[in-house]
Amino acid sequence: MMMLSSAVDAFNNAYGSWQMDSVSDTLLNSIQSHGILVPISCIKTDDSLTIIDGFKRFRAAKHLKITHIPYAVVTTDLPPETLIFNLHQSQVCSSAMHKIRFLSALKCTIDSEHMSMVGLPYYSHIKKDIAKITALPESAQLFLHQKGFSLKEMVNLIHHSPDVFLTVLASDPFFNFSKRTLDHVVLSIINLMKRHQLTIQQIFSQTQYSEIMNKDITASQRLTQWVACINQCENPTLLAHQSSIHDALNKIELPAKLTFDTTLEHAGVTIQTTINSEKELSDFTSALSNTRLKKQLLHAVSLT
Amino acid sequence: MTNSYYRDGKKKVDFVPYKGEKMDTCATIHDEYVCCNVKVLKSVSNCPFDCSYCFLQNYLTNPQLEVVDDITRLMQEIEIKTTAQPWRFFRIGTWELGDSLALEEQTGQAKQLIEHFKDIPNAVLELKTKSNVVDPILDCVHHQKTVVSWSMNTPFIIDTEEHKTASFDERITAIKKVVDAGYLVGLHFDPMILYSDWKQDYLKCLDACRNVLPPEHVAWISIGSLRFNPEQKRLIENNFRGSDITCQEMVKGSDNKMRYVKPMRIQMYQHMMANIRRLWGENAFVYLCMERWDIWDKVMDIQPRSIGELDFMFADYFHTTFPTINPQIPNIDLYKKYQST
Ligand code: SF4
Repeated sequence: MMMLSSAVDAFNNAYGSWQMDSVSDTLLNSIQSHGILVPISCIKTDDSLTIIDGFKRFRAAKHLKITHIPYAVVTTDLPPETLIFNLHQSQVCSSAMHKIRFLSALKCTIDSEHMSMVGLPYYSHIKKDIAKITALPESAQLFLHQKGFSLKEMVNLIHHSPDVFLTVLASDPFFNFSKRTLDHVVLSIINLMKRHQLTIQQIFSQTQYSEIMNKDITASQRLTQWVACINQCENPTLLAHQSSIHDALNKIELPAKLTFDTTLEHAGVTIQTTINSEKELSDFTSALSNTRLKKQLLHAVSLT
Repeated sequence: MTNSYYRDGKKKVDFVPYKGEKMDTCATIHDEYVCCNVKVLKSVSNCPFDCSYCFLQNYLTNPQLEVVDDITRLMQEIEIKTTAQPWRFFRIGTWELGDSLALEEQTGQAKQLIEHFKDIPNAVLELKTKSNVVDPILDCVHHQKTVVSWSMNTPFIIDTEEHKTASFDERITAIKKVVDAGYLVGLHFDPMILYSDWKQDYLKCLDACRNVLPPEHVAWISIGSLRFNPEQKRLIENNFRGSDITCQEMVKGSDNKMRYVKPMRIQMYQHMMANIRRLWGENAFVYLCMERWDIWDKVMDIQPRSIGELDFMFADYFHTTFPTINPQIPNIDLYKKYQST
């Protein structure tokens, strides 16, 4: 390996384009103070020096407008994807998004061998799925990378319509989604669109998106309110039944806590009370034997 | 995506030797949901069809389509088990991990089983299918000890969700053929799936079945609705991108399966039940598949209180309606006592 130096423009950083993490201030400061101490590694291609190691140093140098970069040329028989994967395995594998971008940056054929190299499953729609993911805007890819979405989770978010994901993601500054809440919101909206054959705008209007977004409240309060509206639209039968059971139970005057299974799967009403004295016991039993109360209770039970 | 090649396994049939025990109780058994206690003979594994809701997507660890080729050993196991409980009327199906008839032209397995079952005094074989492959079994001597049953759905669901299966009309023609060949027939309206026209479509489906299936040929009719566990939901959405079956209002039950919210299920079952009774009369044996006791109370005209009791009801129904198939008077105490065997 011979150490050389060349102008920034002579380098090709295509193989490093999969990296999404920003260059740290520490690296920038170090390069600014001391220059690039460790030369970047390249392979020689026809008309340029293609970087295989030192992607971040290269980006930092460009950012700092450094004109000449020290480098070393590596000669190897290994295909670039194997070489770079071995050099950067932990970074490539830091997220499914990185893995996909790596395969795409290295122009790897999407086959079982390459998928297994990066630890991703190979299945019939994989090529289409990867094409859809890599076609997402950089900002969306960055979100998926930073939140650690798995391939399966990304596919679930976008396979029905990437637009829903992108539209919801565009409102991230107002809602500050976590991975779980974004996933929930996107999938619920898709469900509602499919169920009622509606557009995303119609679902937004049904779930009071604009009203909530324009409220002067915190992102987390906005998110709570929007998720509640979405849940209401998603579960009309369940919520209507829950509410009529609640109404029926509220009419019952019994010194006890009355509850029911809110999924409605388990039938029946649970009566919960603590008896501390003979008087409490007799109050409870006499309340229970009241004919009107019995009727009310049986009515509530029949609704469960 | 857990099983990346689950469809590849469906392409070619492997004949495999008999290994381990093959007869078992249906895998879906759960305390809070009533199971009919049917026994299953795992003689086929995987299926050439491709239904979007198929639980095999999430269940099979080996996706290879396999058929056990040693009928003698399979029958020995069945004979040992049916002889050990002579008081029990066994219903034994070969559909647990696949379709009972889809591969019949290649395997001839059903034909051989039918011929063996005709001589077992306390069992019937259930061949459940979504195919129309019945020609190979029409000439079998069966003594009505085999029930040929169909998983039936509306033409819309068959066309959109039950890929590669026989069409609705093909299934109806096949039912007619086996009725003409003297077989008893089972109908399974399971999974019922909600969509905008479900009500009228299921009604038309029932009418068409009734046109070819007279009450005296009905072995049983079951009703059930779509269910899947949360992992399978994602698999369906990934493997069947055009399918909308997961988008309805559903809740997760204590068996970790998502089902339509209960008031909807009750409405669906009541609709089916009323029309089944109208079309096939009061005697036809109708049951719910994997439903809660309280749903039976709200929908059905029989209310078993345990799996053993439902198992007994089947035996009793056969004894009363088809005494030559089950000549023995069933003893409810034994059915209850040994319900989990
Ligand atoms: S016929 Fe049954 S086993 Fe075959 S794919 Fe359909 S649901 Fe699965």
